[in-house]
Amino acid sequence: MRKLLFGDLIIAGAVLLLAAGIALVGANRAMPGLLYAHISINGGEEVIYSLSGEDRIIELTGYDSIGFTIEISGGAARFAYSDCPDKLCVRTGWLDSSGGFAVCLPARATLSISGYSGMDGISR
Amino acid sequence: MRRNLTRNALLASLALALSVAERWIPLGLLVPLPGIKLGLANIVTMFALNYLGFYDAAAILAVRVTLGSMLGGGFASFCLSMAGGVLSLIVMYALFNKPQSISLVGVSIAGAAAHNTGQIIASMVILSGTAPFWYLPVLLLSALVTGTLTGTLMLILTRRLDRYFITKAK
Repeated sequence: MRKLLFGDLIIAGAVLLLAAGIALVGANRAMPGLLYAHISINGGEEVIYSLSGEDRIIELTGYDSIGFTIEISGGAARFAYSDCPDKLCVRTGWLDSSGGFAVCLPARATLSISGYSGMDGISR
Repeated sequence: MRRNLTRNALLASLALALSVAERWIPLGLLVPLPGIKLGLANIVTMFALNYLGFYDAAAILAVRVTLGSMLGGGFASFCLSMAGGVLSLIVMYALFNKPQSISLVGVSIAGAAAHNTGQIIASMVILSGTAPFWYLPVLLLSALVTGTLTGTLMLILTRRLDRYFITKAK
């Protein structure tokens, strides 16, 4: 059996670095201090809600008339309900930290979280 | 010619069976994140690249992805699988030509990472937005794990199969 080679480590390292790089940039892409939920349908303009504002239920209609509900509560957001067949978006669950991302492909809707979580590696 | 057709059809159905079978593995219980799967069907693509060559691998991949999304998934999932599959095939083919420095595990990791990158690009096109891009790190980390797993399976497989295949494409 052939052993692991040097090139394998380079590839694994490159994948790891790429993941860390994108994650770092993603976590810092919005105003610090607060978290925001970005909702977009079919690439349209993003509707942005503050996660630290009041709790709310947002009912929307996505692509192909697929209805879905976004719930913002207790500093987190989620797809609470969707008419889509697979319900992957709902199964993604609550998003409560920067870089969090849920998508409903049939409805072409994305929910993503930006901003600082208020915690970093040291204060956590 | 006819023998090759039969062989490729068999491999395509094997890949299809693997991709359907892995839906039954409740990976979501272990890692509750969407879009993460083992990628067992990629073993067949690597097998084809290793023993048959680029064109057979591409044909098997195309049949598997098309039939796979017909069996469940639909158009969006077809676009995602196809983009991931094609990018992964190209990357793995490029790395297969450097066997002295990269083993099948490295090829598999790179292929898995390329597959996820292709999927993210496709979903960015479908959603015409950049939001999916920020999910890529999660998928890349999963590619590291699943790629190592399928690559190791592939190493075991080739060790057994090298006895039976005299003509290797590589």
